[in-house]
Amino acid sequence: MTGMEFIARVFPYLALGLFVLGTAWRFLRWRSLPAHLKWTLYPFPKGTAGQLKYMAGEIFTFGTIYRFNRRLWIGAYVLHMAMGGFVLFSILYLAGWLPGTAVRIILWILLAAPVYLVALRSFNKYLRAVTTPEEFFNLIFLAAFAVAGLAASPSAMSPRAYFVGLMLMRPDAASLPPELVPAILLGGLFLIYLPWSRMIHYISKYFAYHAIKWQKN
Amino acid sequence: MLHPPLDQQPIDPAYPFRSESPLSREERKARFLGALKGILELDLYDRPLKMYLDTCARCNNCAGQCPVFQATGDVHDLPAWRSDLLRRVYRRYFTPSGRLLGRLVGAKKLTAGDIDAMVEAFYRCTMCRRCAVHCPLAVDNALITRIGRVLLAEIGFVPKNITVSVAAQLAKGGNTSSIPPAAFIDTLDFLEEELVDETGINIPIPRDVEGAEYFFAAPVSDYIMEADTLMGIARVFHAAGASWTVGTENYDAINYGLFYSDDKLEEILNRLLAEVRRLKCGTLVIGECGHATKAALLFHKVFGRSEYRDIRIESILQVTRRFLAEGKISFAASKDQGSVTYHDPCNLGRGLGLYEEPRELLAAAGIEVVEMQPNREMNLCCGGGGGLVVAPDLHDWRMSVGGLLKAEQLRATGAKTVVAPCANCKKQLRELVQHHNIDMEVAGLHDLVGRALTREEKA
Amino acid sequence: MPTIELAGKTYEVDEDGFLEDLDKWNEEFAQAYASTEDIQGTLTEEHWKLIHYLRNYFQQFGIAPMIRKVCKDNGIDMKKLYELFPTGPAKGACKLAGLSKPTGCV
Repeated sequence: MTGMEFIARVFPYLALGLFVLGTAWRFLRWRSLPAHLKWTLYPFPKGTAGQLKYMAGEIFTFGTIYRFNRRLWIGAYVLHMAMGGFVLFSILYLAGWLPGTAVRIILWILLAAPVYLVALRSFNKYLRAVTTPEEFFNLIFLAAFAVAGLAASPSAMSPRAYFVGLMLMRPDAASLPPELVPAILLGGLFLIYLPWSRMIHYISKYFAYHAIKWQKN
Repeated sequence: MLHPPLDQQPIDPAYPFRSESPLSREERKARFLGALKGILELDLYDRPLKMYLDTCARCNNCAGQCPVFQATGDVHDLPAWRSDLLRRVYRRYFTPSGRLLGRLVGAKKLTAGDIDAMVEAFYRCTMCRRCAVHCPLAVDNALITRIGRVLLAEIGFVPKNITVSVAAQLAKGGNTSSIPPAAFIDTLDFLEEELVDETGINIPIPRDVEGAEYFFAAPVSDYIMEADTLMGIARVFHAAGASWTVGTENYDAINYGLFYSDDKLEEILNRLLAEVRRLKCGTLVIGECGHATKAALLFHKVFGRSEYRDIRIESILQVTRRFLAEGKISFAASKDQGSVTYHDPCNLGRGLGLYEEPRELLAAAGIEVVEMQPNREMNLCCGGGGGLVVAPDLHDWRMSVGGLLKAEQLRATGAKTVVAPCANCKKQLRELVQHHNIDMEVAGLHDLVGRALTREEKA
Repeated sequence: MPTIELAGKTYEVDEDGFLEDLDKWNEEFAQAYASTEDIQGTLTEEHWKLIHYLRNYFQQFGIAPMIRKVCKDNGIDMKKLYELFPTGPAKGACKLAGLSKPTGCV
């Protein structure tokens, strides 16, 4: 197998698999931790409906940061929405319901938000004091992925055939536009890295709220 | 420089609190890491501690909530920075990424200088948990502060005023204020005389009554400082016709172990429970004291000996509120109190959810409360929490930093009285109103509740 | 053990300046301490009455009495007590009276 074949036919599955496994491992690991100490913070939303409502509101608005940290919120909120939006728009594009321009717009946003956050974290005295190189690395990683994505498009070859093949479990190296290779690599590496980075909060948030902060006595 | 090396940042030379460890600077590091390893292997803190150490998005949302940071604007008072003192050590020694990548992932080798910084940082946090209310990831810096202090205690760093009180409490028949039994009895007699003077009837404070339903333990300093609170509580028990008692072999609910040591917490709690058991009482009632109530209620099932697990533990706030609900006590039309505001002690509010009980009692007693802004879960710490009120060296710091926002908040209410059902808060608030020239009385909840009771003629 | 020199005499005290031995107390000790506890000039009759009252109770019970008892037994109110000892009864008054330092939440 050539390098190109590996990247086209194996790597995407490998990255996704490792992402799922890593996330599952961390989820199960945290779930298995005993909770002897009650460390509830009062008051907390009552009932599953109330808790879901709070959590959904928090996830879709970043309300706590919006209230107290508006400048960070602009960057953080846009960044997270762009990450979700990129996945969603890509699927819609592959399904033929959105033009490629929509995905490119999202990629521009996915580039702008990290750049803004890097600047904010560099120039705001208080954010700088609590920012570690890891934060910058994560942001630059995302920005690099966005750049790679933008650089690959519009390419001479439509990437649609390749990705559809990938999704149908019939990956075809010949249909992969070469310009897309850096984006595939960066995207895959990001997925592999994600569960082991501080960005694992997409899982930890569940436990920190439901299993600790809102734990009933 | 994007990320200033944390250990090169000086700790505040003006901060008056210092604690000295008998260990050499080299020994401290090894023992600190050993103790951290021990805690991480302990089932007790597994879930919250590891979660808090693993995740923090460094968004600084906590900064806006921290009354200490708000007062100083100093990067060293950022809750995320403070927690990072421990977090980066954890990452360096106990996570694969930290071992491998070091500073790149915010991990750092522990130095004796880091420990110095921690001694100060963890004793500039009042453990009020206000920052945890609005953390998007629900990280609670107060638990990290607590664990940090536990580790520091393992290597000999404990504020002297706290160790002196704890040693006095753990001596035979001792208590944190070193009130000897004879003085305790004399004080109870005095309070009974005062109750006769005030109410015209005999309201006993029963001692060593075997089989009483309620065993009452106040923070022992109340027997020096808070006559009105104790008298109010006696009036409530009496009015409700409850069978209650104090114990003459252990009459101190204070548990400073909550602030720095699980071992001490456990020992102090079990000694109190042993006294409850000696007198065969069913329920331990903790007086007006935030940390003591939290220590007992939260850690009873964790550290209480198995033979004491059947003892019920309640806050006096819950008991009095229940007496009201059951119609066992009632209130007369209240005499004009002047305007009253209510201070939510952090450990009773955020810690235990006792927000409405005191307010309902005040309302039932016909006392209108002018709320502080903000209040309840967003209330500001008095500035003396986390045991800091015990240290006289910290008086100026508590006035000008820890309690600065609180003083402004008190003044803004324009109230004549602030009610705080917590010995720790009351001491700090009294010092605050004096220092900041605020014309306000500081009172406990039962001071007012007791006076508003319908006159009971049971003698 | 730290010591402190007041009016030409040396006393053994704890690190907050509280006298170690109740019996080593004398009136010069109290007077010499007055200014550090925010009391202007010489101690008045009212100060001495309280100081001796505290010492008597301490000799009998090994602790200072409840603040309300101090007020009641001496016919003064809290406000007056703080006027006499601006740093508070637990700190100023006990220190001048040669009592050991009150501990805990006092």
